[in-house]
Amino acid sequence: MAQRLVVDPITRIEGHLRIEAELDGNHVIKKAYSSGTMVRGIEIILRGRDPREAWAFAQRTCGVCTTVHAFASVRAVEDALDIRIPKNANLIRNIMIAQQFVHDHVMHFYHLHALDWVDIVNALKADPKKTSDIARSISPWPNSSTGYFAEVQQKVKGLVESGQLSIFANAYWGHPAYKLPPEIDLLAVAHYLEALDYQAHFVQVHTVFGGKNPHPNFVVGGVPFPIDPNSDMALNAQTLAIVKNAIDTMQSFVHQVYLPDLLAIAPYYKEYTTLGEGLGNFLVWGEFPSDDIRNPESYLVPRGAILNRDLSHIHEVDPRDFGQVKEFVKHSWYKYSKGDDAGLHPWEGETEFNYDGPLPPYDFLPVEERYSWLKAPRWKEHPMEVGPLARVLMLYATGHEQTKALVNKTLKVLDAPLEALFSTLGRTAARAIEAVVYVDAMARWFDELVDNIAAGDYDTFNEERWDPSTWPKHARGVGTLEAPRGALGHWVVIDDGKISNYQQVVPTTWLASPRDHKDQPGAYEASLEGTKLAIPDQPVEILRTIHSFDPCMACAVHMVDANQQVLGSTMIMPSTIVQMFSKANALTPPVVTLGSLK
Amino acid sequence: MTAERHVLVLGLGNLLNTDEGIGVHAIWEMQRRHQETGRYQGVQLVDGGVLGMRLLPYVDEATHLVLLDCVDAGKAPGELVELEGEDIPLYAGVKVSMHQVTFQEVLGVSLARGHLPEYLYLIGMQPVSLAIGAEPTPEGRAAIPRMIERAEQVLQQWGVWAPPTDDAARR
Repeated sequence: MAQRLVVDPITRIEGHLRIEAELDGNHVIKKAYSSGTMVRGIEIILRGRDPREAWAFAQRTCGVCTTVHAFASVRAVEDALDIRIPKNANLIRNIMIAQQFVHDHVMHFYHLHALDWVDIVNALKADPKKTSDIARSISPWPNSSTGYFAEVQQKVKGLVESGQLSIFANAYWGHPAYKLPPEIDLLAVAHYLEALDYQAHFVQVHTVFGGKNPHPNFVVGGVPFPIDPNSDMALNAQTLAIVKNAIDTMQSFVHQVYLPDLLAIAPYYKEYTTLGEGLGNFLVWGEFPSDDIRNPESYLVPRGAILNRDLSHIHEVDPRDFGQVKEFVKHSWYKYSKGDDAGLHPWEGETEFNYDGPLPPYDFLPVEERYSWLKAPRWKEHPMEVGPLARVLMLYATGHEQTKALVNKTLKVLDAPLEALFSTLGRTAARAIEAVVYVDAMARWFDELVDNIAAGDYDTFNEERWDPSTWPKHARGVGTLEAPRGALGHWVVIDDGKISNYQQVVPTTWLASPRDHKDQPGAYEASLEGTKLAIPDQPVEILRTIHSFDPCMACAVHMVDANQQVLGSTMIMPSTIVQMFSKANALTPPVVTLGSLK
Repeated sequence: MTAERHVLVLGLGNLLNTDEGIGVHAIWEMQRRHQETGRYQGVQLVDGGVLGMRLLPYVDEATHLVLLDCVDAGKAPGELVELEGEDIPLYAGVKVSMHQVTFQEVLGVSLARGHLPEYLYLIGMQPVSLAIGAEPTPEGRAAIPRMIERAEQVLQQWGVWAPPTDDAARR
């Protein structure tokens, strides 16, 4: 098929992340600025709506995180209205959330992050026999013969020769920062292709539990389907077998492909165990309750905060405390009624736009002033990292045995100390480590669910507070959830049966946050400082560190762009600033769009 | 490529940005019609939203694929834009986030793995507005019946669908 360079008519870019980095004469990043250049508007859309239908809009906040936003929304409303969900519903939710983790992490590693470390073209130089030997030495995964890898190599060769590799255009093939031997490149390419095939198996969990794919159904009070072993229309032995099969497949893939690949690739990039650290502060809302969600003691991943890398002291956190979580807007395009230095808890959060930035197209953002559509969330006024590394550190620090064993195994392969976790590579490794922990937990929750059903408990929905006449006149709630990218919170205020305020503080708002009222940088900004770029107009080093966070701009900010060149191009400015992404060239420039909103 | 025929109409777009969600509103309308009269027997109607790579299994499975979407082609607002087969660009590349996986990257990956639908057609609408809002603009909404009509014509030309006979008689 011919490839043509035309203006992209069907691009689905859900928001922009823009990084501006100041370099010194040695191409070392002195300061970095992270900006979300498109605004999010879910709060505005939800105002005045029935809280029971909020999830249906919340799940459209972003394409990759539909499930987690829907659950956070449902949990916020259940919290506000004091609704307790049945045990079966909790187990099913845990399984669905864990499925999202495994699916996302596998796809992130192979589809997004792998191209930072793996040179596809270099795989053509591999000896398939050697790849086969490596594969068999690290994993019992069956697709490991010389013939299999030779076939994959032929496939890649065919893509390169036919020009179809252009679908992977713009990666930095041949960049000196790629260090893998061709045999491991080939191994990773084979598994990249397999991961794409396997995701069809992974989603079967949601096909069964969600009822409707690709956008599953949710319900305030439980899960939206009955359990009845004797009905074709309900969750029964047959549909449970599909879920069991999907969980088994995920377990094999994570244990036999994902983790071994990570451990095979990581030692070639050891320098990334000392790069990209960032803040050293970590926040975890906690996840996977075994009891009611109001009891954080029952969570598999504990709730808490770590400051200044100190794993010996876990700080207690409370998402309801007006003094703990606050969002600041000194460097963001919003206006607070209490002024620029104020910080507002999400329950009293305000979403009033105040764009005073340059009209696109522009060269640089005024980083000393306002430069982002993201607010700056802070915990006790500290900028915090959220996500896989935060959770793995929390599990490790609180003595979770499986996590400790996996961390120690990883550090042994890297021949590195515990401090190596505070890094770009540590973040990437943490993602694989937690995928192993959750996929195994998923298998246990499934068994528990089956046992509970066998004991005669078919309850999946609590309807006591379904009717708005049973609700208080004024209520407010918070729904916290660990999303694959990190701590997610939805805060809702309900007055007279309708939503009067709704605020999301999403993982990428924590991570991609601009500077705050004290000019403290956010996690991305801090993580890039000190990184040296080998070739400034091919900043693969920046991509590696930013990708290690698994950015989720869609929910942090929200919009589409019709120009496919936006992210593909890298511009080097004549002065000392690298703009990773060219000027915003949206179909509707953000300023114009926003101007018409008010 | 599977020998078995699998016809898919996929509505794409973000519901929270007015006309950006036009493809989804159009597929909902088709789903509504199907529910009422069984009009689209043998055609899978999927609300793809902005699910990106999660739509790959659907695309892989399809032999005939019609895409309904919001498209910027510099036309007059509300006007339809159509592209067929290889005129639809495929693309993948450096991206910052999984959220920047564009739909034509899904097509590109499907192609690379030998699963791209043999018949591929895009019906897009030039948006009037992409402002924040859960409803399309009046002009956008007015374009939905035209999008559906064109989708039906394409399916008929491919010989994979025909309108129910009583419907044909009425015309």
